[in-house]
Amino acid sequence: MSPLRYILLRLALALPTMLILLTVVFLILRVIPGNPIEAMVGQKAPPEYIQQLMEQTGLNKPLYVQYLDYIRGVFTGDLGRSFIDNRPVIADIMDRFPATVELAVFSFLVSIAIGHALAFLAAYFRRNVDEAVRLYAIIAYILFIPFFGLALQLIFGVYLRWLPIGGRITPGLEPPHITGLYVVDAAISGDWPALVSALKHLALPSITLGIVISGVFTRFIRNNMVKTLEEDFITTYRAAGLPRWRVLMRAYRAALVPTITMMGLQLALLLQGAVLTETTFSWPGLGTLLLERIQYLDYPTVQGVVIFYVLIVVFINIAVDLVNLAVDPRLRRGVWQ
Amino acid sequence: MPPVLVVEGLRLYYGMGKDVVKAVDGVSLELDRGEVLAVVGESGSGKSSLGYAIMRLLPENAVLYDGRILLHDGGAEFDIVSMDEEALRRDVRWKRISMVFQASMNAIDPVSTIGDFIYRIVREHRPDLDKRRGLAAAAEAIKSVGLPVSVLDMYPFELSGGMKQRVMIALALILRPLVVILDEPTSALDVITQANVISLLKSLRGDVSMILITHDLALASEIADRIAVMYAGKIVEIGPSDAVLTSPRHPYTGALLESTPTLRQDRALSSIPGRVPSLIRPPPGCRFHPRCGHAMDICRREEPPMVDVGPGHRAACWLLRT
Ligand SMILES: Nc1ncnc2c1ncn2[C@@H]1O[C@H](COP(=O)(O)OP(=O)(O)OP(=O)(O)O)[C@@H](O)[C@H]1O
Ligand code: SF4
Ligand SMILES: [Mg+2]
Repeated sequence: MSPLRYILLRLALALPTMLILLTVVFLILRVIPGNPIEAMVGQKAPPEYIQQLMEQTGLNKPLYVQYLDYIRGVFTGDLGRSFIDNRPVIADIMDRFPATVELAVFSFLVSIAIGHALAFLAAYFRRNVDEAVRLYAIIAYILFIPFFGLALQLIFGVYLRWLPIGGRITPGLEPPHITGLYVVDAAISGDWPALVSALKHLALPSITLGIVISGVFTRFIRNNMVKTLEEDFITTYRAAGLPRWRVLMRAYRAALVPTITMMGLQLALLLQGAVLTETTFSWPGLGTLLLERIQYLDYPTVQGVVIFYVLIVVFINIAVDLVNLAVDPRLRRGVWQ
Repeated sequence: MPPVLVVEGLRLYYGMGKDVVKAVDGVSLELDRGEVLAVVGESGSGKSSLGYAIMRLLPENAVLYDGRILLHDGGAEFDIVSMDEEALRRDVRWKRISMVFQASMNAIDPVSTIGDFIYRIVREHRPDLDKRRGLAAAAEAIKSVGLPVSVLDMYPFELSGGMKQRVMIALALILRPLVVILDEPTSALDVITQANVISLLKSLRGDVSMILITHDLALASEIADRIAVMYAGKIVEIGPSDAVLTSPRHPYTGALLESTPTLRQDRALSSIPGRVPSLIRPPPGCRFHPRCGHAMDICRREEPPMVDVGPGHRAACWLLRT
């Protein structure tokens, strides 16, 4: 099977999941008490106006017609228009998406850096170090993002005044729009003040989310390494006189496939944590968009963001599979030949 | 010339909960240059543990490790038990003593090609070899065990058990060590592959000193210059192969030989009456006494000493003292 066919197959397999999720979200939104039109214009608006809005948004049609219209739209790439600002939903999403990507990528980097460093220390020294790392992992795992974020905001933002506690960048410093990722755009255009400001704004949210996710990473990588260290080929390496840290590297390498798979799964969790992190740090990403619009019962936007999240997860899974194919000789020889 | 390897009073105990497993309990032996010494005994007698102890490859639950293991190389002497870990790693492991592990089907790195795997180990001790020359050396070694060079580009999951065993033998020999410990090198293989590996081992005789751990007395008689018989963590008889096989002096050796009537079979030695004793609470006195037809009073109380019973032939049994 060629990589391209493989990707297409994976996407096709993701379709039923997406359809089910869409349906569930569609129904839940309509079960939530409240009327989106009233949420928009208030109860005192003239009835003719409300009627006009109902027609404009299609809310006057029977539910199943709304549903079929919506599904048809989704599969032709049309997510509809927001009830709130009447812009195409996709435009709102695209405005916010880069902020979420930036936060997710930096948080992920923080968590793999911490996860690897601690896992290697634990596997190398074992005993007390191992216990300490285990404790860290448990604490990191149970941290509640809004509280932990608030604590960091108080310490580093309010008390020490080292770092900003909200937003993506100091207003006015926004770099020219190229990718929408401020860090990348600022770097490409050589805009140092923007770069520094963007990184400073990223620091607290990505450390907050990165630490929370690092708990699972640490534990998983450490467990994989320690388990692999009991395998026979490790004895060969020890007998052959490889230094301890190199033996550890080989154990890590042999356990790389499950590690990458787990990291991919955690990325989905990371997106979930990103919603909380975004609200804690007023980060203008998809998560804040979602929460804002749920309040107004902006059905098309909420549905659109959910689809988008699912798509991200599907693509992450495909990416994980592709990376694993590169890393696992067994898969590589089996699938590509 | 001094023996290449001298082992004196070697002990290796494992912790198991509150218990202590005395897997190697006071083993002494010598190995001459180019000699093949077979270590035979029933399953659980501590043969593999002896091999690991000689390499100082201790599991995490090792609770006691002492005695002396002296390795002589020219004028240099290495005391394996007490030497510094880093020196052991650098000067002894693989360079001077290597090992082919029992059931070594998973002894090869699963995510490396055979070539990378061998080179990774060679490079550790021969930093002067660049990758090209390291792989050339690996190719030589692979050919010397009768495998095609194409094996170097393969992963272990693409090789049969016999091929992996040969790879491990090639790897054990590639640095031209003084001593190779071979732990049941043929037991996991089918009959034809066994025959191949045996003739390979025969062709290696004289070049390196070998400690051949096996429960296959036929294999021992075919290849070994001397045979050591191990029982419950101790060596009970050791001597030239002919002497041990034709005129065994320890009752346990006799029982072992009787349980292998055809001398050309590869099966577990299970037909000696009674069970292998517990290494946690070994029988007092002579450890073989619960199963020995000649057991006397003294056998239950006192441990028999090793006595000379012929040229280079020693055994530990009270029958030999009276
Ligand atoms: N790490 C360990 N911890 C506890 N007990 C162990 C450990 N390794 C081996 N043993 C026990 O020590 C005894 C000797 O084991 P060893 O593997 O050395 O025997 P062996 O003679 O090689 O047997 P076999 O012929 O089956 O390979 C056995 O009772 C075994 O269960
Ligand atoms: S010492 Fe006694 S029990 Fe042990 S082998 Fe000799 S006769 Fe048998
Ligand atoms: Mg064994």
